[in-house]
Amino acid sequence: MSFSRLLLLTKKDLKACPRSPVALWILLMPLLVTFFIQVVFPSIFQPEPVLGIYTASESVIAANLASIEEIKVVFEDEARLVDMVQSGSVDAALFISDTFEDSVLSGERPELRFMASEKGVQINSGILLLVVMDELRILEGSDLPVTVTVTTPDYLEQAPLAERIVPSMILIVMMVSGIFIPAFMLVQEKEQGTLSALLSTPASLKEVLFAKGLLGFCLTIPITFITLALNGIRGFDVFALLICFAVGTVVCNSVGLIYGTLARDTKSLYTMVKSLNIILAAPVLFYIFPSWPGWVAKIFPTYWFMEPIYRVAMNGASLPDVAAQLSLAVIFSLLLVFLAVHLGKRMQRCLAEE
Amino acid sequence: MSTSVIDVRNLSFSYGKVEAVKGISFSVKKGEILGFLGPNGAGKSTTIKILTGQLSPKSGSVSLLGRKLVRDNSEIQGRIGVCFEEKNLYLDMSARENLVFFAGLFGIKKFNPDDLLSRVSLYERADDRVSSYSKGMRQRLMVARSIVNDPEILFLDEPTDGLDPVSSKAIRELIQEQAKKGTAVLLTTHDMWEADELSDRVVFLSSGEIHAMDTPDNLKMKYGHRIVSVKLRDGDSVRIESISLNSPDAGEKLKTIVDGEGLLTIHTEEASLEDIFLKVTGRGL
Repeated sequence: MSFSRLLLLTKKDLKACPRSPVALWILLMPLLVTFFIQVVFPSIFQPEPVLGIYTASESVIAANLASIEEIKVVFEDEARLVDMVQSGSVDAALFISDTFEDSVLSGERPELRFMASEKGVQINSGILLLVVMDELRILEGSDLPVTVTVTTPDYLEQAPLAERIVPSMILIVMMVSGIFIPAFMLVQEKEQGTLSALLSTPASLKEVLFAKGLLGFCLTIPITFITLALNGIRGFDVFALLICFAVGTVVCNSVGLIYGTLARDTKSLYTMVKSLNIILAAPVLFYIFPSWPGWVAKIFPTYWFMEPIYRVAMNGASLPDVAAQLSLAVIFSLLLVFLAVHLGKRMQRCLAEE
Repeated sequence: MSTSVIDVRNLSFSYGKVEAVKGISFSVKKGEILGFLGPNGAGKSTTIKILTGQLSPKSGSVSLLGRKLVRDNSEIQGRIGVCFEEKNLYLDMSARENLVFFAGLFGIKKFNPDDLLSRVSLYERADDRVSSYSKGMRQRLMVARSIVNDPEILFLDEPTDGLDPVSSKAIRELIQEQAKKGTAVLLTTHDMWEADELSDRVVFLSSGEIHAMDTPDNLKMKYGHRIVSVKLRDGDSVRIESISLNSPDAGEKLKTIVDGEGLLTIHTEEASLEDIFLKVTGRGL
């Protein structure tokens, strides 16, 4: 295999990408999906409930609420706070009159105005109401009648939805650019008849296939990193994550080449991607719904690189921590590369016989 | 002694149970143009696909440039040029980009396509996308692409099929220039006139078998009739008379006609390759 020919073939495809609307769509789609989710469901990515407070004078309750780390408190005037609740930029608002706390301390039952946002996440409004009630109880000096113990089954249960959705985003990016780009580029060569022209030169079938894979690899890695950054995931072991991405991308690229060798044209490729990618994407459901039996996710080859990526990106795991799972993914990727080359030879023979 | 650069012995190939090529043998020398003539399904394209390494023969042997042909032989692929019947150019690239890219695949660095583009009259449109080219321009570019590596063997599959006379002439001239430089050319065509004009030798291929192989002149001599056709005034009407040059009294008959007063026109009527093909294979093109 000639490295310079490999680069030449990859460079040609890379230059063709901006000219192809489909390729552009593939590249931009993951970023658009991220943007869409963040705009439509902004509170999913908002890690803490936001409480707006209006106080007419100094307030002990307001000061105590502001000191709680798990919630974010903003102070605004009354009219502005109403607007913020209506627009959903705060989950709830608390309006404390200048006589409210004195009335509570003197044993009266004054009215407290608590306004919940319709646009925010309902659970956040509920959390904030409970926190405010607890502060009132403390101010009044009364104790809780029961002891509450909170337990969670495992680390996934503790992860907020925002974190659990990240694997889906990563897998979408890896599957769309990692699988579709090599597959689409190969099918395009077949449709245009240029594959025969390439193979009549010193370029070999392996070089052509690997060039498509290399293109998918070079585009997928940065897009995946950008997706992570867009979703606010930072502070991971970059080298470990790079290795995990590399293995995952090779698996996706090989699957893409297999699709490309099997599909006769773009139409049949779309059908193949739509039907088979649902199976490959199945493991993400087990991150979104952690109560589902986790062993089922392990049946799917994509799990074996998704899990290391999740653990490195979200839980700060190191490369040795995920080595075993990653090794299985490497074995999968080698098998898939072998299969892609075998199917490529079959494709070459079929094309010549057409 | 001129040596064969293409040597084919008892080559056979079948698509499933259908035999496309049945034990054909031929050779092509350096600088020679061999025309492969035959109707659709005769086995011309299959033969080219085998010789260019796209298909593996079921039996027989093929050697190119003194080496036995095997698939994915980049050394041999680097010394041949192929022009396909199907237009398979990168339409989103310009003519210049297409040529430079393919030259790169042959390992030619710093390739300047200007001369080649001028030879196929595409220099003025060199930077336009191929998608904006006419059929004739695309075909000229296809032929230009097949010679970027200055090949020792050139395979041309129907290079002028459906083209206008100007484009066809440009391509024929390019093929002749290449052959003069020593390139062996294997050309498939339906066009008997083109084969006659270009080929040093022609092969009549039908149903996967070679029915005849010789120079066009020898084939005409062997299978054709040497006839002179004369148009004579006969009273108020015109009469056409054919005189075979093979008949012993042909000279005397012609002298009588020329000396007479009724002669209007006189010309020779050679058998065309098409007539000979029909006669030899029993079927037309």
